Amino acid sequence: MGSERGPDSTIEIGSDRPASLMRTTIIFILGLLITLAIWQIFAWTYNDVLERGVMRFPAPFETFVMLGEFLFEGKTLLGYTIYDHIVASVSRWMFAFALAAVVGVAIGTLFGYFTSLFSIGIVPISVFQMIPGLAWLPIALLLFGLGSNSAMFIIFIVSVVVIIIGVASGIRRVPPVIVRAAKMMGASDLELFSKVLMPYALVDIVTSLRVGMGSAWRVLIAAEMVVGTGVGLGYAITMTKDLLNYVGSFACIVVICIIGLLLDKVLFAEMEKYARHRLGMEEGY
Amino acid sequence: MTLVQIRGVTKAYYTSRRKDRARVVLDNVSLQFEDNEFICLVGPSGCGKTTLLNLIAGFESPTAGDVFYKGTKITSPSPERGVVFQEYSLLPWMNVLDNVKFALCSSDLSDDEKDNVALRALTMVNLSDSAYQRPNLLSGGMKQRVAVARLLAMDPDLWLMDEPFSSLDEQTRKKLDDDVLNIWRIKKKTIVFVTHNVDEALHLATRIVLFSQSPGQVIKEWNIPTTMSRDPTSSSMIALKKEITDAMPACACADICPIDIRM
Repeated sequence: MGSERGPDSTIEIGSDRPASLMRTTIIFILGLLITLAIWQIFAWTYNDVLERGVMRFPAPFETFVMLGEFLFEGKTLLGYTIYDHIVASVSRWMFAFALAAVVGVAIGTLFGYFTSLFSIGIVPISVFQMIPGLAWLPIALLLFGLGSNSAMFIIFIVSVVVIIIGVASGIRRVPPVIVRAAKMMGASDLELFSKVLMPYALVDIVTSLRVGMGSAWRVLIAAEMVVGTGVGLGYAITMTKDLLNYVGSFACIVVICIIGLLLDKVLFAEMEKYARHRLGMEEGY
Repeated sequence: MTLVQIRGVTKAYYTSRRKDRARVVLDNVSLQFEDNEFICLVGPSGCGKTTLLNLIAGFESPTAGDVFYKGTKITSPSPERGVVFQEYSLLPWMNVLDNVKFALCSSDLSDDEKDNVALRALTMVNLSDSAYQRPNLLSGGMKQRVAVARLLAMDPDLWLMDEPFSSLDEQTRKKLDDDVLNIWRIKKKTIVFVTHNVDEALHLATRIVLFSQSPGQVIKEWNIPTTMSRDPTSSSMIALKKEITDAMPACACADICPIDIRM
């Protein structure tokens, strides 16, 4: 890897990959520890120094103990296991996000390709972008009533806007000379689109999907808290809070963070690295 | 046979948002390019050479007048008219071979045949060793050689070359100029080559077309017989160079005043 230089001039270069992977892992773990430390110090100050609370502020240890009970001892939360809540949230999220990705990439590509369409279409998109996720609530309730569908509508609308803008600007950034070269070589409209514009905009498309996925995840939890979905992590947080089970709320928040981090750091970071590599933005082969 | 006919072509670009001001880049240009000519368009920068090439390629359409290729009006780009661009125009995620094969995307050849054609083209420009490298590992000269190989694979009758080697160093440029000259001699195609370098034009062209400053008009044309010596120190070449340089517009200030359009 990274040492292939062509048939006649191949030289071996010592790979520094394992070392750098270790480095990033250590830095990442260190960052997590700092987060935990801040949390611990805050909880300790709140509970033991200020002694102001009627309620205890959940500390990391008790939160993880409860999380362990949820995960491994089958303890239920509002009548469902933690896995039911996770599955409910993740499937809502995936469904709405997948729909947003398909619609967003399609519209974004059209906007990016046809300049006249962009200048008109970007106006409503910019208006939508200014509407905070939860402000869609009245519209969602009017359209879908209480429950899961409203939550999915909010996720969809929030992430589709992000994706449209990202994809359109990615396509618009393709250098004109590349489009001209492809046309000169006789590429059909379909070939121009699939073999030139899409690959060229891949980094921007992946980035916009990544950002869209993140905002979808955040708004999902918020939406579940307000539209009364019955099951789901956001719903569990707001209900445990109402039942004064703050440790339970915190355990759910930890689950949310872990899922978000996994997707962002593992899935999308790899996809982006691949896209950057394809575009020759990274050095070497 | 007349390959390209440019009839009274004017091209203007709007220079203001309100579309009430425009800059005339080409002003009533008429030219005719014959089969197997090597035409060099020479002139100061901003005089519309590249615009004229874009019109022949079909990337843009004239404000007034028409451009014909083999008797048909040019309306869109086509693989019949190959272009080597001034900027690098390779697809960065494809290796060199795939980039050349992409030039064959509208042909009916099988994949194996495309491979063969592309490899042969790469061999002609001495790049067969780099066939599986990606463009980000190539030098500027190599990238432009791939662009030339694309045209070799497409095999158009008309080659449009827009200052293809102007960003390269002097030695590389001369070497690539000679390569193009060889290709022209072997393939017997028509080449329209834009340059601002009179020496380069004298070395390559069978006909030199000199443009005035913006708005671009043809000042004068010179035919160079193929029998004439291309030695830059020969007396006939020195005389010709002096003639062209003397005819060249004195001031090279490209940014001229926009004109008013009354609407």
